[in-house]
Amino acid sequence: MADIKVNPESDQFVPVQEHTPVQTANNSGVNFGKVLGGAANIAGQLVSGVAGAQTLGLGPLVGNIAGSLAGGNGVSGGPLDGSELTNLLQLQNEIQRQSLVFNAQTNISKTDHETRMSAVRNIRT
Amino acid sequence: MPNKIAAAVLGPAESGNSILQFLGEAAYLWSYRGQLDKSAAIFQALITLAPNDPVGHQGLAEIYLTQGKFREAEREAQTASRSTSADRRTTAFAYKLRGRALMQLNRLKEAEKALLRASEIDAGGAEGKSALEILEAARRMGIFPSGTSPPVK
Repeated sequence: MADIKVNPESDQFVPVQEHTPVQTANNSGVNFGKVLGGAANIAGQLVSGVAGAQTLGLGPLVGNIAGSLAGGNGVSGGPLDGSELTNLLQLQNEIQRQSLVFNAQTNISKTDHETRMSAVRNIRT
Repeated sequence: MPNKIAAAVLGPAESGNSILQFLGEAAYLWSYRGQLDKSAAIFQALITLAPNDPVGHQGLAEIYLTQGKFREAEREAQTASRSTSADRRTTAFAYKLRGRALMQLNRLKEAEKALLRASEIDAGGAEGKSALEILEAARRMGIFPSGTSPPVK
């Protein structure tokens, strides 16, 4: 077995440089909020477009709210004022209600269809 | 007599059952497309060819319900529910149809009884749950006066 030599006076290791403090702008959080709001808006629109009723259309609203809370001008335009936000929330509630009714109706139709077909499969003379 | 007709029209039992299944599916597909007359004619043929099977009566009951012929719907649903060759789910479906027809005829106690029977026959199954949901909705809306029958479990 070969001996391992340990040389504590090796010069292979150089001291780690310390980080110097980085100057941060005061409005960085707001900028990040703007970007996040815009991104959420686009992503939300994409998701709700692809998934349809399953997402209950939450995406664009979340994006708009995030953008407006951050105080930025999102991708969709200017910030939302109170009445616009109220209208959007009312619209959102209506969409959600319609989605629930639609899901309930399709579930009922599916159950009925399966019962009918089960009876048809068992027809005997 | 109908069995002789079925034997003459359908031939051997195995292929005959396939023809009946095809007719049943065709009848429901016509009804889904809104062609109720064509659908009803096929269901009538099914009743002639397989008088002991509930599908023909059940299909006719659904068509009559859609057309607003509630007395006829109730009669056909009752015939379907009395079929001895039906499984639990199908029998429960027939009772549910009867309950719906009776509700339309304003025979509320009988309707409630039919829906309860459906929920008991297929307890825990899809049709039993569906019948329970109709019962609970009707009670919430005050269609069935409370206290006329035991509460839904």
